[in-house]
Amino acid sequence: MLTFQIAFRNILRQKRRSLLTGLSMTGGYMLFVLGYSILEGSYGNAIDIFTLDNSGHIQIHQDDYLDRPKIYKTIQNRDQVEVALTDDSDVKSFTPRVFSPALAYAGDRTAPSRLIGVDPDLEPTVSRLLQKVSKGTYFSSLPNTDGYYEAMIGRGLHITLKLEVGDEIVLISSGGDGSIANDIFVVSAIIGNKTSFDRMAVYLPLAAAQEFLSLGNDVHEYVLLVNNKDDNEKIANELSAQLPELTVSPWQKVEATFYRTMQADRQGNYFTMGLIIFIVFIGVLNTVLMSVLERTREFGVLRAIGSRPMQLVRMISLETFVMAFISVLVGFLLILPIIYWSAEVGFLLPEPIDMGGIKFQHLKGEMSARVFWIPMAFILATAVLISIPPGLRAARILPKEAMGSH
Amino acid sequence: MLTLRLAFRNLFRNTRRTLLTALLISSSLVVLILVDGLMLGMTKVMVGGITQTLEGEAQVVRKGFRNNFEVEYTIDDPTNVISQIKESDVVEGFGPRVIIGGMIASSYNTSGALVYGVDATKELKVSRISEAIIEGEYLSGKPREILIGKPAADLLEVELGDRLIITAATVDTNEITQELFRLSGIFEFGPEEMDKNLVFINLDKAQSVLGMKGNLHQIAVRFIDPEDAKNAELPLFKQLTNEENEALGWLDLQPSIGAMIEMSSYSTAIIGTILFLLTSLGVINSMFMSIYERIYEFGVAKAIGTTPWQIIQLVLFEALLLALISCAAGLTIGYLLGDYFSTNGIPMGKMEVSGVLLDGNLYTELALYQFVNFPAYVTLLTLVAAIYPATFASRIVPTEALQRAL
Repeated sequence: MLTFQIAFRNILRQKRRSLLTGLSMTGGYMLFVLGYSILEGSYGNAIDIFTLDNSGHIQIHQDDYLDRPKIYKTIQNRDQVEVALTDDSDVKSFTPRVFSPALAYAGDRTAPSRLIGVDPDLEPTVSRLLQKVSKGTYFSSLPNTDGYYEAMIGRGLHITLKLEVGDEIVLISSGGDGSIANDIFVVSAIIGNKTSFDRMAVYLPLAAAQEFLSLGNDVHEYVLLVNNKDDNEKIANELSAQLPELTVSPWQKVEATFYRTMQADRQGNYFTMGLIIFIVFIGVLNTVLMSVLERTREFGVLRAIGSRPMQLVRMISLETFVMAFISVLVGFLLILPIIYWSAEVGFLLPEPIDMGGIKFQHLKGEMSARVFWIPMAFILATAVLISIPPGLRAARILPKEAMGSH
Repeated sequence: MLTLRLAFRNLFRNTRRTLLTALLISSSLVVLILVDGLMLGMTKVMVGGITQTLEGEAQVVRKGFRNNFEVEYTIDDPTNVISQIKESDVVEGFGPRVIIGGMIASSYNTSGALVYGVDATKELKVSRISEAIIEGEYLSGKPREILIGKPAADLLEVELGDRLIITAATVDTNEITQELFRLSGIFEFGPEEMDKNLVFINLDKAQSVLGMKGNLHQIAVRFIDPEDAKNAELPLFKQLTNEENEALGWLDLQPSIGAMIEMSSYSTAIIGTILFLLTSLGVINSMFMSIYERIYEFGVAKAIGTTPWQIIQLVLFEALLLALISCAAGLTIGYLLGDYFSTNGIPMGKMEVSGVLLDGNLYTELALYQFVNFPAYVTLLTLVAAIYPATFASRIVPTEALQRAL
């Protein structure tokens, strides 16, 4: 306990030095936390956005439909799939979809488009389609009084084809049986904005799309959300075992380009992070070594009055630890609101940045325990470790020599 | 001169402390040079990727065309625009193009496509289409030639010489037209979006099929001096921009790249600020320690008639020397490391940012200003940090100081 008391007094005795040393460590800690938080955070957020916007956590297809979509590669045993998905307690929700490229006409204008058939009731449980309606009303699964099915179009088609809500749109495509598909639909809503991935998409109710493409009751894809998104690769493997004749892909495979980009970008960020850690380390080294090495004379006195070498080493390490601990605590209190803000609001980028096909508008931080405790542990450990060699040296020095120095 | 000599001696009375502080200051300089070099390297790849691949350094288009690539937005009076570009002495080359959305079909599959009609020879000076060819031949001007990307070729299951049909609406009458091509080349730019969607055919063929009679959608321009593209005030831009047309550099065409660059300079600034804070704390700390040791000396100096201003000068000189030594070390290490990373690169994976593929290593860039401005900042900062300890030293009262030391 005596060592502890001496250590504390030493810190308070030289207030200015303690303050300066402490501030260096506080600054280093804050820099470390901020860098780490942003490195980890920006992606977690983006992943949420696109998995909920479009890809879901897991997708199920027939064969290699994901890489080489063909109209006839359909999932036929839908009942079996749906039973498996309903029974799996890890699966939160799922919805079927069909796709096809189509040429869209309105009046004398045409545009290439992507037809997406979704179940109007199930789709909102998986994606944000319902929230993305920017004009008009979300479609229903039944044809209107004139017998036309409703369609929702992307913002790009709305501009190119000069289509408004209530207008007619003609789609031409080829059906699953090789026939030519063409039909008239009524625009019920406009979806998203000019940069959405579905700006050139036409959404049709599933039944209408299946009929249009002569697919019977087949679909091309099941998209699902899981309860714990970090487990999605594991759950995908389990589902894959249950549905051996189908291909189950986690989003990491669906958005492979993005996933690869994310991994690579992290790699680059680790380099920056390495530089930050290096400078924090040098800062701690500088302050700790200096405050210990400057006090040779003081340690000489302590030795002269009978302190044992181990006591001195303990005292110096303890002193450094207490200093470092108070510093990171202060740093924690100062950085906490900043990290909270960066996780909740984030830095707004002037223009969205496209990373492997996924748009980033905000740079966000991560707010989690590890963001705070890893830098904390790093600084405490470095500080104490650095204080040991000069402590040993101080402990071994002869009182006479020590007191003769400055 | 005496002050300078004194300062030099003082600095090396405690070499260990001076070296520790110099280590901190020079490390900050090294980190600053490396972080900035990393950002520069990244920017260079991004800008090069955008301007060299396809988009060109600048473009002339009809106002409004960029919104949605609508076919009727053709360049007003293209012959006049082209002759003006030809006459300009800042232009290295230009590529006239038509761009139209359509469907491309093989015997096995159909896909949406963005069809570029390009002038085979002129394009060589603007874009890298010919270098991106991995199979078959680049366009030679024969009417049925068509180039598609590798993933598109896989999707359509076609090989060189196979038939491909493009379906699109003509510009003049908006009638649907179909045209037969034979696959003559397969390209791979890298970014998936480009390789999946882009299709290149000969310009005159595109114009005749689409009923465009010599009209163009876009003229991509490459300058002799790439810096010209960033100059919004460039006379050529002014000259070509009128009521109908607009001429813009890549910074305006690709605002997301501009945002990227802006963001990287922000992060360098943030890292720099925190580094400077840490370093100045270290400097203040070390200066104070050296002053505490010499309180007696300062007391004597004051007692024999040294003015406070002279003492301030002395301490500032010490700081200046410290900064200069650190900068010399920092510049040497910074240069060596920067040079190493600029030839060997920082290993990263494959990533796609804003439609640019970054593959493999990222090379840092050394620039003159890093070796002129940064040390100047560091020196200035060290001097500013030394002001507080210097004034403290100048205020030492001789009587108190002499007493304390006894």
